[in-house]
Amino acid sequence: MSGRAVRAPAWRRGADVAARTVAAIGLGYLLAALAAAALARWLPVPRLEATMTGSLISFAVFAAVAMWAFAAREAWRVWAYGCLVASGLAVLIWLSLLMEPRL
Amino acid sequence: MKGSFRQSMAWLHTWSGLVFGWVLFAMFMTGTASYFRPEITRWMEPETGRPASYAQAAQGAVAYLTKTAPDAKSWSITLPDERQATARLFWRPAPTPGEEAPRGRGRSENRAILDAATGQPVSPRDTRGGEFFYRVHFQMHYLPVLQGRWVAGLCAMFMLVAIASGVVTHKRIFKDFFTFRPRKAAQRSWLDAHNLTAVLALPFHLMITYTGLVTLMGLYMPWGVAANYKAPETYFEAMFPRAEEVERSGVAAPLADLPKVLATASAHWGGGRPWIVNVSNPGDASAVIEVTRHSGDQLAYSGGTLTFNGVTGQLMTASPQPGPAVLTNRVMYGLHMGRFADPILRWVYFLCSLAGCAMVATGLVLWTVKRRSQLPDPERPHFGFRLVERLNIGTIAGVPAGMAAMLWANRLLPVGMAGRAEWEVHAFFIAWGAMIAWACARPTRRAWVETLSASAFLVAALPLVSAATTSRNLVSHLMTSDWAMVAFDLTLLALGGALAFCALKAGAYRTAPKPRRRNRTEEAPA
Amino acid sequence: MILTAAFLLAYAGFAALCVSMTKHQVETVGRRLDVREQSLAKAGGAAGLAAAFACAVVAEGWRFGSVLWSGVIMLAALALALLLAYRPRTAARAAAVSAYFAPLLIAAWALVTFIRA
Repeated sequence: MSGRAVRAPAWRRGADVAARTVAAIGLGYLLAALAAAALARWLPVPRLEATMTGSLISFAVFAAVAMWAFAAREAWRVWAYGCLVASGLAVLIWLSLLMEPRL
Repeated sequence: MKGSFRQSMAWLHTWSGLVFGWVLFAMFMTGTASYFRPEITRWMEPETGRPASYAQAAQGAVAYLTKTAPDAKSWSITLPDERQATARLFWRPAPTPGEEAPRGRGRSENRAILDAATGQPVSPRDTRGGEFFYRVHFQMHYLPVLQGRWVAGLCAMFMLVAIASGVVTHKRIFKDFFTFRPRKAAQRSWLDAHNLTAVLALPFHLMITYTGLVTLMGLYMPWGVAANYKAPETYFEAMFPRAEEVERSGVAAPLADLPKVLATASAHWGGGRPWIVNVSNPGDASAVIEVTRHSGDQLAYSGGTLTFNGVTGQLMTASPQPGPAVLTNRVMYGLHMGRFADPILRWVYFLCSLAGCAMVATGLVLWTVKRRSQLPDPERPHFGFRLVERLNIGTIAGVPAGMAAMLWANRLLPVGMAGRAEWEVHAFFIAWGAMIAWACARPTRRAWVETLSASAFLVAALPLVSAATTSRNLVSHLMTSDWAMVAFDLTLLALGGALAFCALKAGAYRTAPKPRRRNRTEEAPA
Repeated sequence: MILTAAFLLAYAGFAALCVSMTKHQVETVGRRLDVREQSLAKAGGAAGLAAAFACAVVAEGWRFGSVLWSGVIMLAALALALLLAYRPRTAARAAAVSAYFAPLLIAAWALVTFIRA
């Protein structure tokens, strides 16, 4: 990996790493934030407790997404699946906000 | 990525470790020192005395405040514990009608530092003390505070990623549990050293990284709060319920006996220590005393607050028991801060944290050791390699040198100098920068030996510098059985010795004979 | 006193676990162990770590005790690994000495506590 099994041209490799890095940081943060919010809305415990649980777990979500961004076979898959999961979480949050407003 | 899961994780481990490694090393080093924050502050304020009981300090504080600010809006007293020699006070003056409510914080005329034992005001030299190492380890310096915290957060996040990917990469984690082969080829023994410091203290590293993120969760992850609360204030009120502010009644009434109130509070907590005392409307019939428990009394960092009637001294309310998730948050916070630790456990924390520094440092060195043998011409490495190598030398030797330089500046800068505290901090960065510059100017091995030796000297000479410039020295500490300060000097000597040992090792280091062209990450014969 | 015992027990426990691993047997005890000895060493190691936990909890209570135990075993493992690298025989002997002195320390501690009470 570290420079010895490279066959693709340098610019493609660079673009690949860049796409993954942006996915790891940007998408990782987005998914962690959405997971925190969704858990805060949906966990069947008092609001404060749910908020806290969601926030505490979010960092593990970020780490997992960041690792996946580099482990996945193609970079575009990360973006595709990541955006899919993100929109799913966003819909969940939106539904719950329709059902019950914020405090 | 191309290649197996393990290979891509190895790649991620390598590069996330390298890119964030230098900042992480500085964060780990200053964070390690922060376990002795009160002791460092005591060392850097040689004008202050010895720790004393909080009850004694409270008495002195009330006497001082009654004289200095009898009709303040509120008083705040941070009581000393057995590691601190001073009580720190500040007060908010009563707002004069028609004027904006004055902002009490940050105005030096509304602050005082009192000797814990005598209650007399002391004016230590202008210094940030141990507080600087604590602050810089999560918010950097020369950057706006919030930006600095985001930088620290990004580094910590990728520390977590590096730990997780490192565990995945290191498939023989249990087989190699005790393996360290210092006499094997360079790459092998550096790898062993990196594995050893990482694996054996892995619970600590994971804990400290995750809980570090949790301590600044409110900044990094406000989205859970935003999803449930329209205004963050609503959340804070639920999280930290506080007594309502009461207006002055205008009827004078003497303040309840504070040491007695503190004794009641301590009994309520089953012997816990009071820490921060807030008095609103002192000297008035509407006075309220809030006593917050010492954050090191339990694993959970916030021990709760009791509210007393400020005239009768009767207990009115106690903050409610937190739910399991809130408690988890506070325990994580407490685990990171380690304030609950008694001296033995504090040393365990310190040593584990040093293992963390060693893990980051060996990881950084390993990057160059692994690549040196693959360079097309090891005599003339390419720019990237040279940059990493110089930054490694300048940072691994430079951060301890910088920390020592700050303590040197604390003793050598004139006491009355303007901007003294800030120049102490500059000394930290000047020394670190000088080490990097030095590393760039010299050939690799000489650079290691010279910077490490300089660093060792700066650290180990500190007890002498202190003895020459103040009345504080090892002998006087021994005579007065001030064990914390005795240990401080001895620790400096030991750390200086460790750096000198590294310098010697670096001097004796011979680049390994060209390794056989084998797949490097595969296991060498055990 | 009892915390020293916890450290010694953790050290001896890790040493036993280490001896139960094939790759460390020759350098520490000078020969290969048979299967029965290996599983004995493994069980002894686990018992040592458990006893260290008991000591830490007795000394500091459940909460602080478990934190202290995690710290103590990490340091014990580091000490063992370092000793093993430079003086493998000494590492094994130190483990035997630790296993011998730990119960004595615990007994002494119990006695002192009993007299004070």
